[in-house]
Amino acid sequence: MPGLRAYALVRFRGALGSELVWPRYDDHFDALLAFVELERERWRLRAGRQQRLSGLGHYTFDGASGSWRPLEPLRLEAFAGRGLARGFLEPLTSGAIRSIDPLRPDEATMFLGAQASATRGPWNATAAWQREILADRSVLVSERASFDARGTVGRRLLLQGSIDGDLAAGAVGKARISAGFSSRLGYVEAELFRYRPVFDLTTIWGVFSPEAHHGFAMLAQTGWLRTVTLQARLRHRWYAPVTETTPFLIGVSDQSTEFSLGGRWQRGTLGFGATWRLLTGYGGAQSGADLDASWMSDDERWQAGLLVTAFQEEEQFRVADGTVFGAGLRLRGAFTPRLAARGDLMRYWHRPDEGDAMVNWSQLRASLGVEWTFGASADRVRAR
Amino acid sequence: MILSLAFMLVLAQDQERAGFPHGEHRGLFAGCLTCHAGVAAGDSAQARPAAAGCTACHDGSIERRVAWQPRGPRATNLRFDHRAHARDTTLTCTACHASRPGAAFMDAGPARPDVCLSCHEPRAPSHFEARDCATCHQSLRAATRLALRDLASLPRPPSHEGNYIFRHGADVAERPTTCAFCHTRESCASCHVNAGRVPAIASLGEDARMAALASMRPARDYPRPASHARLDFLQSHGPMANASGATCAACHARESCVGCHRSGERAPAIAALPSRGAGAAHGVVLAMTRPPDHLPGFSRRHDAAASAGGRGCQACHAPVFCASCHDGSGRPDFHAPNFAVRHGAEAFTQTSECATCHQPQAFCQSCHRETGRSTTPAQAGRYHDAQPRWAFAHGAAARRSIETCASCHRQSDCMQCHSATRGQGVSPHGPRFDPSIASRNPGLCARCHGFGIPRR
Repeated sequence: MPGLRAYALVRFRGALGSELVWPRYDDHFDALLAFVELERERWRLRAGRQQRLSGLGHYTFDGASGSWRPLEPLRLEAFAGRGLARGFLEPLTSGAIRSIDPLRPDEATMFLGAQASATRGPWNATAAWQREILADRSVLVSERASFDARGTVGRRLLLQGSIDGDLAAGAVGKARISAGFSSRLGYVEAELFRYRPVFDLTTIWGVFSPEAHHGFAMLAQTGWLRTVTLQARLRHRWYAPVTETTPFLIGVSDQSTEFSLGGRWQRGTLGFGATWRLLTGYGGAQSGADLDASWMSDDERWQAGLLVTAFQEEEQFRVADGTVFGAGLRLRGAFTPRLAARGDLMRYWHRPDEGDAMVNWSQLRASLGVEWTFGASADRVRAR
Repeated sequence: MILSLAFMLVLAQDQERAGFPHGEHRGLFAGCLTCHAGVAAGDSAQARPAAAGCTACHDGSIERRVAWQPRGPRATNLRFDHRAHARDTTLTCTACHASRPGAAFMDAGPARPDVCLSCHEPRAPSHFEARDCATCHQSLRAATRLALRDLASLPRPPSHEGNYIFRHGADVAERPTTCAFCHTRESCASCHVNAGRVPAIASLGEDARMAALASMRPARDYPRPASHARLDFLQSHGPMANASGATCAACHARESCVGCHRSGERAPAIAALPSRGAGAAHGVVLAMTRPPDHLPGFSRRHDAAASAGGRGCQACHAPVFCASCHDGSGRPDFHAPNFAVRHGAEAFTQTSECATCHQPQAFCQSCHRETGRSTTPAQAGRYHDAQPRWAFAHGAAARRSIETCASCHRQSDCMQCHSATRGQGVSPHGPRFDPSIASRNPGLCARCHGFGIPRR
């Protein structure tokens, strides 16, 4: 039947050594996506496990969705189903989540919402609304809305802005406006942003009156050199003074700054990169640098890389202080257009500060992944 | 001596290659027929003089020896017959063969096409703009005596210079027989992917020499039409393709499109295109290009584009592409390989906005508890090592990054002090706290306040 497709992305994983390599590695099987789709010129229906990607973030749910394009620039969408915890792919009532926090509700959540998007030439805008309620429809879990717009002026200037609101808490969430300009010389971008965390009403964290912070970010990247790319980033944040909201004070800065410098030299299939970054201010300080060398075969089927890293942390009130050195390698190969494997291995050596009795971070981390594609995949590398 | 011999050798070779220097012999011959006696009678054997005749003078004593040889009949597709013209007594040899109007006797060469046209098609602006080629020429397909080398050396009409490739369609429609005089089906099919579907091309004859000539051309670099240079062409070409797919098919094979529209083989406009077949034109080769709005940092800042993109994103990406990063499947490309080790600082400042993809508290604790970084109940001072009186000083940090608190602590940890019924009754609410939240989820408030939820 024309327009009828089925997609599935499933994952099997397990820890070959320590189980501390990556979060949720004890979850051995996941269906990340599994849905059938019927698409026509003006509408599309999906049923199964699917994702919502919008200015509100990334949500996965089991249910149905439909989109309709009544006019060329306009697209309307609606969706509903059982909500899944982000990053977990399990309902909030699952044993894995309840073992972490027994105060979670007994009911799963219903996830529903709608979205309207319009695209005209290089401009597009989206308004999204979504709501989560307990499956017994007794109470609200979360309700959020967002508006995004972005577009290009000529070939050089990119403008974008977004804002979202936590309707359940009656607060503005994240907001961002940015402008980027590209030319033969390179690319520069400036951004103003605001961030406020959003919690659903199944936990008490949201009523602890989280404060928003504001800031700006700048990015500059060279483009005039053929084989070398240089990049500099700066991000600065201002935190709201909290002296009026808590009687317990601590002498910490109200600002934080991140700065990074990086460069990459690429000649044919060989590349070398270096990055240095510094984060100071509220919450701790971290400096670090990475060096890497990479090689890729002419047909892009085989890749190998070496990585050397070092970073130092000085926390103001959190986990640990010390310096960590690491070295490792990454390999990736496509045996056939459908079968690929990748692996990485990193060894870290932790040198704690004098007198620091914290957990020793020295460790060996390795991962091996195998990707096997069945049927048609748009992103599978095709033979030329 | 050696240089002199080399010079003479080169001179002799030049003489052999050069045509006959008519002008240098102007005083010797009374008329053209002295040497070209057979022309008027159509006797090709007598149409050109023998080289031996030169030695009457060029014997080394009267004149230096020469190595000149008469050229054989030129390979041509001319239909010209001297006998027919010889019957016209008003025509002299110089009428056609003078190198220019008013040229001196024996300042001669091949007949000039403009002279032919002056009688046969006097209104034609120039040779290559004449419409009736058949008067003087055979079609190249019929001129079987022309070898591949001869075909390759034929002059290119001036009209075909520049961006003629974008105008030639109109010429084909206006005077197809003129085009067919030189071009065969293979000429067109070397570029036109849809050659088999175009009646004007299908009606042309076939010729193996033309096929060989087309195959000798380097890979066709298709020129870019002006319409493709529009700023919004990337966004607007879909409707154009739907409206006039046949035009696209002149240059684009189905494979041209699926280079970018990787899941679009069944899209009507793409499915209607001819597929790239063996021996057929290759068509425009389009690698997947990065759209202009995918500027540096797009991988982290594409939320608005993704939410509005819809089918636009799907033109290049399958849904699994998004999931490969957004659920951290087998490809943790979004985070650097060592991100898990040093993510603490980024998580606190929310550089990566963790909650966009990860459920606060649940996702973080699933790892922090395994690694021993999350404690329940909290062991005061163990982790907040730089602040021994942390329990009395954590308010500012908690307000500013409570997601970080929730990455290790259970709700019950905080309720030990902050619960009105089960703890010490220390209010966690800030001055702008909105108590109306109780109407949306009373169970949340009851967790600390029991049944005595304050109204204000």
